[in-house]
Amino acid sequence: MRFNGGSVCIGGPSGSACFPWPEFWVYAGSATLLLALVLGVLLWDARRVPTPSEAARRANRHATLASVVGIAMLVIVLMWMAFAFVLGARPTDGRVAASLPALAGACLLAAQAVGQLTWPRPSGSRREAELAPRGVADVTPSWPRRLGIVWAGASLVLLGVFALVADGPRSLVREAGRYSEAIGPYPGWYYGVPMALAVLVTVGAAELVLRMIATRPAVAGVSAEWDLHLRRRSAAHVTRGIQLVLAITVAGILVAAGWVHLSLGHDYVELASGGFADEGSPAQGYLGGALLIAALCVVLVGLAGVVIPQGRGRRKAPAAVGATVIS
Amino acid sequence: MRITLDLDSSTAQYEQIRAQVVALITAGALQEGDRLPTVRVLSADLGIAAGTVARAYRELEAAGQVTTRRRVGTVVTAPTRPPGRTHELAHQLVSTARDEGIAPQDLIDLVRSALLTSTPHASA
Repeated sequence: MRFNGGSVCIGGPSGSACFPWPEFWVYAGSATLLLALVLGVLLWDARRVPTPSEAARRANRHATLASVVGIAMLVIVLMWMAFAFVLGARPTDGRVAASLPALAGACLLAAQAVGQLTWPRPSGSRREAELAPRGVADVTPSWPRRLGIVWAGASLVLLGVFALVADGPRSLVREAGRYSEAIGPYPGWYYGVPMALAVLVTVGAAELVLRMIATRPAVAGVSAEWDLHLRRRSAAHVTRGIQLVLAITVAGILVAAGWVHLSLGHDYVELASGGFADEGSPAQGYLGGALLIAALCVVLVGLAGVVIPQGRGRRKAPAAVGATVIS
Repeated sequence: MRITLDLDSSTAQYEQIRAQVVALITAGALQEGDRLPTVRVLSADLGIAAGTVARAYRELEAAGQVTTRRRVGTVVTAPTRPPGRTHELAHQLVSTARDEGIAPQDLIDLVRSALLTSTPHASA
């Protein structure tokens, strides 16, 4: 970042983007406000959990820390990606840019994985355990997880379709008489292969982290319901964040394809008599528009998947009183 | 429904787990078809080696108390009730001991001493 008179210039691999101070403060302020809002909601949700014992307090703090760090990194990467595209400072290699949502997801998962691996182990000479099975399905909210799988499936299908449709590894060709023009970036195999790998790795890593949440040691001295509630909160942060990342991936694919098809919908040719005629393909234009609208819908559904609360019965933390012990 | 583990006890950890699961099965708290937690989950909750829990489950399976199936996990099989009036008398003994304020460990010691000192009846 450098200062140029009354402007702030932020450099990227493709060059610098300079804008006046007031505009800079608007962007920086918006980013800070969004991050503060997200973290504020997380901390408020954590404070609502009753923690009458020291072990419960420590467990709640540990789980909240993992979630706060992971979600903060996710939001920062996504905001950086958004501003980079808006300000024209995106990475020169489109494959890197295409994998940025997966990077955001990786940050979230890495923070949660560290949180689970460093979870306090049972101590003391007297230990207790619930004799009830516990798996990923018991701790994971169903609909965010299903939504994530839908996004992952949709991205793989779209990447496959566009790779087949593409005229080259990353473009569509506009034929106009004796000349042809390659229009891109189009999600052909050049972008499709790394993106598909990123999606598969993200889904696999998310399942692994959910398994870690399900199998981490139980909190001592609390009821089984309280312990389960804490696990479900961690799992909800993971599934909601990952489904958002995958939704952004799908939207990115649709936008990239949509812009190219929209471009093919218009081909202005200079007439001998003066003026221009549009010899583009209306069908391509409509297809491009439809893909862009679909991208917007996907983003809105993905954002809704983050903010829509779970059912009332699952949101409220139960009492943390320990269960009766049979010995 | 919980089990406890006393790391300072002279009884082996796997034996403590095995005995408590058997007691729950005999008491009807665990019924046929009930799933037990996986070895990994139970060992994480108790903070002990997975091999210890695995041994307890093996012992239970060898005694026919549980069965382990792929993708299903460890499942309780039909509980074996002692024949005759023993089961009923055992419950009466526990109830009487509680009424008289005898601690569970003292009652267990009492039963053990009875087992050591009593002479077996000649079979008919």
